[in-house]
This record gives sequence, structure tokens and C-alpha cells, in this order.
Amino acid sequence: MASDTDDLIVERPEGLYCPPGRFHIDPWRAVDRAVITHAHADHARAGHRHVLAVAASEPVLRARLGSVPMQGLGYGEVVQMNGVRVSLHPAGHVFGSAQVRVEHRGRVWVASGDYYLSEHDESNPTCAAFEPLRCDCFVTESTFGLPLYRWRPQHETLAQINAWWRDNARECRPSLLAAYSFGKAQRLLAGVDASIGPIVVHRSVDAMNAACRAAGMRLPATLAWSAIESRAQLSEALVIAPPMALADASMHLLGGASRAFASGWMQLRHHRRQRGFDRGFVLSDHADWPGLQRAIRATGARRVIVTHGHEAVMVRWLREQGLQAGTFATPFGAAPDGDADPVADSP
Amino acid sequence: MMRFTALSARLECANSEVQRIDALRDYLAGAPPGDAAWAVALLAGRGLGRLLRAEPLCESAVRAARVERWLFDTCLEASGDIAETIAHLLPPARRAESNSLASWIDDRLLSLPECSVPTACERALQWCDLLDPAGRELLVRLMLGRWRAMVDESLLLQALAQHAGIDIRLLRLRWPEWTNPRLRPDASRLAAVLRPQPTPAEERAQAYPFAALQTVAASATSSAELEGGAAAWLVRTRHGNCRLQLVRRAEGAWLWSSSGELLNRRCADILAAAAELPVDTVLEGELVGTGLVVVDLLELGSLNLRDRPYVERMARACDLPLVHPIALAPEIGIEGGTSPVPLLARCRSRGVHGLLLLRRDAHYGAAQALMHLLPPPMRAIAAVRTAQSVVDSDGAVRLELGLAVWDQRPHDEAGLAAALRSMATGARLGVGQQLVPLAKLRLDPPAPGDAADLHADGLLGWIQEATMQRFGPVRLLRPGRLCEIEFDDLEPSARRKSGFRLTGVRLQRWRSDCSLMDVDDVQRMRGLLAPEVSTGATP
Repeated sequence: MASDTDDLIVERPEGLYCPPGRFHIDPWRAVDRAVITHAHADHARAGHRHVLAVAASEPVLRARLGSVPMQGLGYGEVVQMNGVRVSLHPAGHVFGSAQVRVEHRGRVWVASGDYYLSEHDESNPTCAAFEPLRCDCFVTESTFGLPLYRWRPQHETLAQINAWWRDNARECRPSLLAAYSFGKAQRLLAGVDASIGPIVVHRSVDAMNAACRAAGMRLPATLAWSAIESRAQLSEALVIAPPMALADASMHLLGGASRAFASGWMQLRHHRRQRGFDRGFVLSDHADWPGLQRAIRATGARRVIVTHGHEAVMVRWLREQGLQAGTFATPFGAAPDGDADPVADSP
Repeated sequence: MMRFTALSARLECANSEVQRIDALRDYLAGAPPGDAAWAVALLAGRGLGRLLRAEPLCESAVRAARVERWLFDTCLEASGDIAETIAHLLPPARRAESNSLASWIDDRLLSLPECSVPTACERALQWCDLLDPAGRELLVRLMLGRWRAMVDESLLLQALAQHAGIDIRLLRLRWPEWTNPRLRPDASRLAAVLRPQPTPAEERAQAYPFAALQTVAASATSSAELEGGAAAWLVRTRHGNCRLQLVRRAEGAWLWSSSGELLNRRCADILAAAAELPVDTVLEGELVGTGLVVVDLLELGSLNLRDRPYVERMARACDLPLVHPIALAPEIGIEGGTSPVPLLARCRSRGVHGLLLLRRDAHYGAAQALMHLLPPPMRAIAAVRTAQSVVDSDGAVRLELGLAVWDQRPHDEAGLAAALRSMATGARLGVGQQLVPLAKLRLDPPAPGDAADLHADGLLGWIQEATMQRFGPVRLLRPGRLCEIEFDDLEPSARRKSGFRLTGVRLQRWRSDCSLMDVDDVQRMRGLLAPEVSTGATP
């Protein structure tokens, strides 16, 4: 399927590639021109010679990529690349995340990157909502591509988190919430009731918060973990840290804390049990099964290519719906920062 | 139903006994009595039986969820649980209904066996449409007979006793009747179980308050310190197991432990033998294996013997028709009226843990009339070999150290150096080169607010520095830090690499003055085994 010569996006050893436009999308090896959909480590890798990305996400991307020449685009703004019209559109996944729309000789392809959509009319409050784009071929993620994954409205999950935090605070028990440092952490910060108690963040979350604040995101006030000296300061606090940091020796002050994890994977009991958390809150930045179907339907595409997560299931299901479907083998989701992998840890 | 679903969720999340009991108490305080009755029955392990078979229910769920069978099976494989799969796959509930648990079970679920299979499945799925995913999961589990209580009986009893404000021993007495599977749980039966006033018969079934047992370390005692001299005392072996009172009445027999547990179910043999005792007999003894070793007689034929001297009580006990597995504890003579301490060494054998001293002329419960003479603790020097942070059952984070001794102590410094070299390079270790795991030691976390304790000793720093390899959470450490441990007993154990199981291990002190050559070896540990055992089948 990927070898089709007329295809606007194909799979190459270094990543997804647009042959007429001569650029890559989220390549996993260093290339000349890369279009980056968002700042998660599995999508934004360092070493490219030129990067095109959403202008607003530049501070966050810089934190990962360093001083690479970067061209920022507004959502919907069009650039010509070797005769191909390229534009970036909101994906609703994390701050500054984009779908890549590629148009060449009347044909339109869209690479979704990671996106968030569910059957409820709601969006991730830290970024612009997913924008459905009409296209001939839709290259989609499918991290949660099983009907088991159906998100409850996010206000319900946030209410659960607030209730959990409030209960813990009443009993002077720190509330330790594991969440990936970019994306989920900010979504939680924006969503929780900051009047319950102080919010403490791990240094990796703090770094990402600084970048997000620099880019204009409004987040409640937080304390840095490094400023904490005694257990007493934590007794009513919500501590947000990436999952891997929980094994850190400096976390010994959190003995007796209630530990929770916010991720789409928490939908299933065995994922909750696997990590040994006291609580699992189902909150994802990825589309659930109804969201994936809704997004695919909205594109009107006759052809769909699945990049990562339950590809075989998704492809078989799409074919049963009468669509032309295939896969690209990508390493997306194998990396640490999105909630793509239930057992992956943040660096 | 929603309330019970919430309780299940809370029990599943709870990570301490206190949280579990709180969850149960909150539920009992808020639930209507009929619901509480069913909830207590379910939590006590009563199932509804298998009301539906899984396969037809899955078939119906596939149709209701409008997915293909292969997709359902893929989901089932991903979640590993039928109830969870069905709960998530069915379309979201169209209307929420908050019927009571009792009406769900009595009016709906228990009517399922009367329906044909297709009707039953259809009803089951209609009911799922009234519940959120957590409620559905619970419902499907109940219907398939796969529901399991997430709380053990002792916690449930504690919560019930606290809720109703009654003595837990009274509750334990009434429990067998409540759990009778032939009787349906309802509010009036639960109220009867929880009524605060005991009947006269219930009062008579209780044990007498246990006499205080004084524990004395052998080193702290000599015959001179025994009031009235050694001759005033009677000596028996003590196994260190739980103390029991066997109460035999006309209505039945009850076996109580000193902590207020009722052991009737666990000790059926003793209960059967109790039938041979005269009515209104109360014996006290110790559980040894599955038998009762009697050390005292408190009541006989409704005659209260507790204010009689011990020798008189035991004289009467000797006349009792005791049948296996109830037996009188043998008496050990103190030769020449000397101290009982030398006896400790003589009666060391597997399972025996010191001596029980009873004053001959004392009434039951008299002060300083009942003593448990502990054997001196054993000691060993061991090397710290592994370290790991563990979350204990109380939620506290503790440091768990794995201690090791030599399989065979190296002969000289050269041998030691060779052994250390092999350990460092990961070479195959021969005899005399291995430190075999002996015991685990949990250290308390530093007090809240000051992490200085452990750090001051440099233990955490040393662990970081001495880590040779990590296996998940476990660090394998370069041997170097030695400690002296104290333990109560050791038994042979084929499951352990060292060949021993240690009980009551505690840290005596760190031994920075020792070298690895001073660490004990397996042979020395074997010498500590009780004599009878080491001649037996040692692995």
C-alpha cells in the first residue's frame, strides 16, 4: 500500500514522507525538512535541519529540539512546499498539536498525528479542539482502537479527581497523581479545583509548565518539588509527577501518600493493577473508539491508513465498513511521553 | 445498587484495613436495612450461584453492542474479563435507575433461573441498560456467579460491630447462623444478628476473661526471683501459639482465643472431642497442631473453679474424660528445686517456645501467677545483600534489606578476596563463595519531616553506591555492610536457599567492627537448630 507511486504520504525508513513535497512528517530519524505535529518525544525528535510546526507550540518544541531553524505556522495558514499546499489544523491532543493537511493536484491527504475526540461535545481545555477535515485519505492514529475504550465526559473524571484529592487532604494524606509531564499534566492543572490545597509539581512538569505559560497558557499557581522541605507542606497537596519519577529516592517524603494515575489505560482493571496505583482515573488525550469512528467518518475519506495502536483490529473493522484500509509501521506510541503505552515511563 | 457499586469500588481502591472498615461503615450507615442485609451476605461470601451461563450472555451482548463476534473476542482478550468487556462494550445507559440492591436481587436476579436462556439473557441486557459500566460489571459478575468479596470476614465483622456498637465476640457467636446458606438474608435477620443485648445463653457461651500472661526473658529470671521458690511453681512447655478457652454447654461448644476469635470452624476436631466433656465445662489451653493442650480448668459442672488453687483445679482436670485431640499438658519436674532456666535448653524441640510457669497455690487470674519464660534469643551476623523499597500493608514505605550468610565461610583472606572477585564479575560461584539469603529485615521509614535518621547512618547512600545490579525494584548490593540480628527461632525449610526459616528477626546493631570473615555460615546456623530436628530429615 505504501509503495503506491501516486500516494501523497508514504512510509520510509526514516519516517512518513510526502514525495512531491519532499518533506517528512514526525520522522524518527534526522531529515532535511520535518513537519512536526506535536511536542511529544515520539513525534518530535531532535536532529532535523529544518522544522515546520504550529507557531504557538514553539516554546515547548524548543525545550525538546533545541535551536533548530523553525518555521511557525498559524492554524489553517497555508505554505507551498515544492508545489504541495501544506497547512496545520488543530488536533485537540495537547497544546500546539496539529493534523497535517497536504494538497497536491486536487488530491487531499491528512495525517492526524495524535488527536483527541470523543462522542461527547467537549475538548481538551489546554488546546484548540479537533477540526474535522475533508480528505481523500486519512492517516490516523488508533492508540485506543478497541470498543472497550469509551471515555466518560471529562468533567466526571475531574470531579472524581477533585473528590479524591479533597478526601486525602481532609485526612492530611498527600495526593500523588502520576501524569506525563507535557500534555496530561497541564490538562489536569487546568481542570482540577485549585482551591482544595497547594499543587506541587515535579521538575520535569515544571519545565513544561514554564514553556506552556510562555506560550500563553493559563495555569494555576504551582510549587516546585525542589522547594519542598518537609512532609507537613505536602499533607494537603496534590503532587503531579511523571510515573517514572515516583520511583525516585527524593520521593520518600511521600510515604503514606495516596497514589493515582491519570491515563486512558486506566479504563481496564488489569492496567490499573499492573502499576500498583491506589486509584486510576480514566483521562486520555487520545480519541476513544467512538471518537476515532467519528473522526474518520467526518473526513469523508474512502481510504484510511492506521499508524499505531491495535492496527490490525482497526484495519479489519474499517474494511468491514467498506473502506480501503492499510497500515504504516511507525514507532509512535512506543515512546514515553504520550499516554500511548501503558507501561512506558517518562524519562 | 449504585451504593453497593460505590462500596465495591471503594473496597477495591482501599489499601489499608482502616480504609476498608471505613468504607463498610459508611455503607452500613447509609444503606436501607434490606440492602445492608444483602450486602453483608454477599460480602460474607454468599453468592447467588450461577444464574446465567457465560456463552449465551456473550452472544446476546455481541448483538446488543452491535459489534462483530471477532471484535468482541479481541476485546475480551485485551481485558481478560467477561464482565468488564460486556460492561464497556454495551452502548451507554439510556436512563439511570437507582433501585435498591435488595429489589435488584430479590425481584430481578433471583427470578432468572425460572426463565428460558434467551429470555434471561435479554433481561440481563435490559438491566445493563439501567446501569453505568461499574454497575454493569457488578451485575454481570453476580449473574455469572463470579462475584468475589474484596474484604475478609474479620474486617467485615469489625465494621459490623463498630456500626452496631456491639461486642464483636457476640457477633462472632451469631455469625454461623447468619451465614447459613439456606436462609435468605433480610433486614429482620440482620437486625437480630446486630441486636446489642446478649441472651443468657449467649452470655454463657462466652469465654472468661483470660488471666494475664507475663512474658519473661530467660536471662532476667532465676529461681530466686520466682516468688516462693521454684517449688511453688508448676512447669509446662509452651508452644507460643494462641491461648484458647473451650466452653462446653448443653447447647454446644465454643472455642475462643484470647484475642476474642471464635475458632469453631477451624478446629472441628477439638469441637467434636468437646462433646465427650461433661456439660458446663470450661477448659483453658494452647492450640498445638490441630489439638488442644489443656493447662487449666475454669469451670466444671457449673461449679466455678477459678477461685480455687491451681493444683486443685488440675486435680479435677485429671479426672476429666479427655479424648483426642484434647489432652492434658505434660508436667516438667524441676529437679532439686532449682531454677527452671536450665530446663529451657533441655526441652528445646521443634515448635516449643519456652516454658509456662504456673503458681501452684494461685487462683485463676491472680497477679504474677502465670509466666511465659522465653528462651534466650538467637543471634547471627549477616551481610546486607539486597535492598528494596516496599509499601507495607499500613501504607508506609519501608526499606527491606535481604540479609545473607556464607554457604561456607572462606578459610582465609585470599579465599575471601577470590569470592568477592567472583561476585563482582558475575562468575559462576562455587562452594565457599556464595552468600545465601537468610532473612529479610524491614526498617521503619524515617519519621515524617526528617529523613535524617537513615541518611545519618549513611545507609541509603551506601545502598546507592553499592548497587551492583537492579532487578526491577530490587537492588543487588556489593557485600560490605554487616549487621547482627536477633531472632526467636529457626526451622529447617527446603524452600529457602539457606535451608532455614527464621522467625521474629530484628536488627540488634550494625557491626562496622566486623569484616566479612566474621559473617556466619550455614553450618553454624545448622548448629542452632533444635536437636530433634537436625537429626531428622534436614534438606
